[in-house]
Amino acid sequence: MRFFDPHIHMSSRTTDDYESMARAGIRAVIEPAFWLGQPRTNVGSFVDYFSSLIGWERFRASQFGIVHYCTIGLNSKEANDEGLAREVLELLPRYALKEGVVAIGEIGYDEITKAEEFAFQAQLELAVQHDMVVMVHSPHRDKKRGIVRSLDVAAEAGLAMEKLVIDHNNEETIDDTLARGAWAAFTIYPHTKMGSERMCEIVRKYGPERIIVDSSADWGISDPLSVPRTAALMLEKGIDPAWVEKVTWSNAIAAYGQSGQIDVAELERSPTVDQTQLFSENSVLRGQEPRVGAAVPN
Amino acid sequence: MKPEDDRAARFAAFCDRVLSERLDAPGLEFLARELERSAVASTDDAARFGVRLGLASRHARRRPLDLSDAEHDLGRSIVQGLDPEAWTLLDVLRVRLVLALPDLAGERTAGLLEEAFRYGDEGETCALLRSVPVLPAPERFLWRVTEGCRSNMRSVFEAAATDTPFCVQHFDDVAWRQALLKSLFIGAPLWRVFGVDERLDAETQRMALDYADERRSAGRSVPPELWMLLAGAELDERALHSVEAEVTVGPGPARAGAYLALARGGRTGILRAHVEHETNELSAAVGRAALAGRHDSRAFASLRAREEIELLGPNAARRMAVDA
Repeated sequence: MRFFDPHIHMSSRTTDDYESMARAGIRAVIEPAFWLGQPRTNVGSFVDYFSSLIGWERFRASQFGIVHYCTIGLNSKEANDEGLAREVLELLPRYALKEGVVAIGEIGYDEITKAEEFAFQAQLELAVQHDMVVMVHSPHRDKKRGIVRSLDVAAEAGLAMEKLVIDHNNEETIDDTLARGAWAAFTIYPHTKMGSERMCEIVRKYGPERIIVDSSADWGISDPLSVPRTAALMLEKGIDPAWVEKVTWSNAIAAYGQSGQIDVAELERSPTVDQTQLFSENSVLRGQEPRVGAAVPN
Repeated sequence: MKPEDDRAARFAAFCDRVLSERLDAPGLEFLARELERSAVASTDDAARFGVRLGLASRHARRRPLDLSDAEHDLGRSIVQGLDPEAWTLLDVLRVRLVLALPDLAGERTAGLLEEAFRYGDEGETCALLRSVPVLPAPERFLWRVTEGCRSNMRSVFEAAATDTPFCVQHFDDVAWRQALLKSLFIGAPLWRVFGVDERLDAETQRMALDYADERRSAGRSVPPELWMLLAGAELDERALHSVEAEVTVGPGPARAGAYLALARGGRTGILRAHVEHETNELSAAVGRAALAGRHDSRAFASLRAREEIELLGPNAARRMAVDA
């Protein structure tokens, strides 16, 4: 099977992860802009971070036959450093409209402060102005209220609900998210957020419409193979393969493809050709040793 | 009008011709609108120009152009050494937007381009690098092109170093030799670096032979395009020794590169003896062609994987096969 992991922080993962992801069938990823585990102290750090998301990281992924998209945004945690936040907000249009940027994100609330709300609203405005998709990070604490408020504020800003993805949902929040017409993404984490078993139950209960599974793997304890593992468990539990395909592949493409930045025809093609190009595998050239087998399984 | 300005205008016309055949209606509308905006210099600032380069990706994919023969002839007739064969449609659109900036020779425009480089992503950087040889006084962007050659992204390296006359004309010896060696390291097509045959020297040869020794000591194969970097009308003893070693130990197809080196270095007697006994089909064909005088840097194209060349499209692949 092929998979799309629409939320994973590859900058904090290793090359080995890319290899195992490709082997497990992951063909495309979205890397949302987030913080670095600690707050940045000047705008230059954001410039270099955004540049790496659209530059080196995209290239690194391509070497493993994985297509790398990203989202650009000021995350809620760093929105609380108000002076810096304003500088970053000014910087965003220079990155948000670039090739391969599929949404503004991940934005929203962390502690649900006034400063967070200011940054959230400013970025919603940018998204509406440029007809973009928005990826919302829902808070760990006071999640339900955070999600409801995110939905309200996004609607007030004039964002069409089909352009809104609410991430890190759980059993308590899915009804609100789906009822409003937004996409409901679920993060499969080994210890927190959502587990694979629970995810199966949710899909069984709600069906596959507008539900998206992701790993959100980062520098914390997380699993870059969450999406294929959850898909395997769903199949084992007898969930319709067409449903599994929706929640681990086509729904993400439908949601983020609204950006016009996903070349679906290219994604559907077998990625072996790129491998040939990058590694000259069938070439007599041996300047570089190919690091992935002739056929890429993803 | 200075001839340089004329060059930019003529290349812009080439871009228009290519784009008019390939963009869809919304893409052509985007182009027309943005060209109109560019004409009003006072409304353009660096941020708007940067956004424009980014938005181009909504209208053109990174697909091979696969130029027709007529388009290809036109495209490479404007700046000697510049060949848009391997550009993508998105490259052409972005280069067109660069060429639409008012007063291309002016300082203000140079500032806009510097900022575009600063905030550029991989694809934008490629397009900006590709536009450099078309611009008036391209040497203003020397540092940006050397930076491009330092990139480990093969796409960026190729945009800076291949199919452009810029490097051979403006790089100092250190940068030029590094670009040639770097091309081997990252597997970029050295045969598409313009001007290699005209700018080889003993130091480049030493670096290439050291690299061959290093590869062999590590039990690794030698990239066949390395043999393009041997200098001089006649191969000296060290070079001949290394080439002969390749003929003895190299895998079948890799011998082709060594044969080209023998022909380039005037050792046709030795080459003829090897070709008579050659069992590998490719190496035998390349060796025979080399004896017949086909051994310039473009002859090394035939050593690349056919699949790689086919990625550029059927027209381009046909032209390259003929070339090789």
